[in-house]
Amino acid sequence: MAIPSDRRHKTELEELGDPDLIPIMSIMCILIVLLVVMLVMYDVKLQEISLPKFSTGGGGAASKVLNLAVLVGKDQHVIKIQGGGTEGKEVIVKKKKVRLCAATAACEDCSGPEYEDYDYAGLYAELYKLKESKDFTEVDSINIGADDNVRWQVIARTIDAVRQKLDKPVFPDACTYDRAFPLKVKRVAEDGKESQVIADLFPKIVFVML
Amino acid sequence: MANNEEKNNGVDINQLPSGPVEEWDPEKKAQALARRKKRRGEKPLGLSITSLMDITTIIMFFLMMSGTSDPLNVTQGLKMQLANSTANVSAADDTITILVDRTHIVLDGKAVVEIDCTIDKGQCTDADFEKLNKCEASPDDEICSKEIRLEVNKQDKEKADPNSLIIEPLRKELDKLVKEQMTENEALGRKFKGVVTLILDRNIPFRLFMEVIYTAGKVGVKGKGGLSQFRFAIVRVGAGA
Repeated sequence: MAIPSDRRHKTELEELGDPDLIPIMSIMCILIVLLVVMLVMYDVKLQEISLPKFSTGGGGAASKVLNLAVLVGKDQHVIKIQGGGTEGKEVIVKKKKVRLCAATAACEDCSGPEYEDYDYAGLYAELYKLKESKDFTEVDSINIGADDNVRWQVIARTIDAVRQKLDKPVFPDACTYDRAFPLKVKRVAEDGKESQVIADLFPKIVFVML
Repeated sequence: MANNEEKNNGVDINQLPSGPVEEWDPEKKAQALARRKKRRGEKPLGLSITSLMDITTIIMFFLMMSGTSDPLNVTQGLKMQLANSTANVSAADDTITILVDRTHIVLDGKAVVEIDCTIDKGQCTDADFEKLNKCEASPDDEICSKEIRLEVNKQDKEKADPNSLIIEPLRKELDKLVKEQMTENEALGRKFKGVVTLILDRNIPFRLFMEVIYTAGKVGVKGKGGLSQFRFAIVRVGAGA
């Protein structure tokens, strides 16, 4: 018997069936795995610095310009202050024993191995004190130098310690220092708009080689 | 009679309702449809993967966009571990990228200078690199306190002077690249920015990266500018991360 036209159309469609998506799914699954492997799972940012200065050696008349430098040695940081009322002053911040803390553990419950590391918290505290003193309130640049074999990781962390203010002036240990938040202050732009910006310590960094 | 019933899957044809299918009892209608499909050899519909296909397509596009949108596409591995920092400046396009890992200085994807690596005066091996990569998690390991020297061979220095700060092959390649970019920018009416992005392994010594910066700082064209801004790629850590 003749099949009605609407049922015939439906019959033709039913005969076609769903497209076979399994091969395409297989390719997609492989591609997704490859893309996940290639995906960068960490946050890559940039640190800006200025062109380095190179000392030509030799003495000279003491500069009237305030000059602040942090020198990274094998076992310590040395803060050198020149100019102003604190001519030729040096502050030494030695390495100290620190304990590795798990990211999820409280600082009081650090149970990782103990090792010797630079005292970045101590360096930050000294620089914060200097910034609060009347001589260095307006100074925003700092020179950073180091011994030839000091690793880039140490320099990067030194830059962190000199660049911006944190929520406290002093930290009791390395763990609380590492977990500190940057201090934010209100800044009013020329057009009157208020915004929250990170408070600077010495944001302009110049590498020096002695 | 019994055979006929078997052919019709146990249903007596004489018991089927008469009249159009649409007027049948729903249960009888479903049975009739199932029998028709079975006769035509159609497989019953299984799991629908159309929705799954939609999801995987969306996930794939998301991963493709994530992977390609970052202008600073850095892959950490055996010979390259970025330093940690709290800096928060985002990467921008249109910079010259210099990568310095434990074995080479790479400019725009091309290795231009080899780096000599020694640990306690012995040549570095892949096993040493693997142990070094674990220093962050286990800083009390023996290798973490050893002296690692990463330096450019004196033959690659200006006038083969080991105390020179200029790395000749890097300077030549940077010079070529900068001139090309300046010409391109002039043709397009753009200003040459002279920004260098340095991707450094965390173990690179201060001396070596000062040599790289000094060499880059010497490149340029009189009156047109040169490389004057430097940015270092780091992995963001800290409470604000």
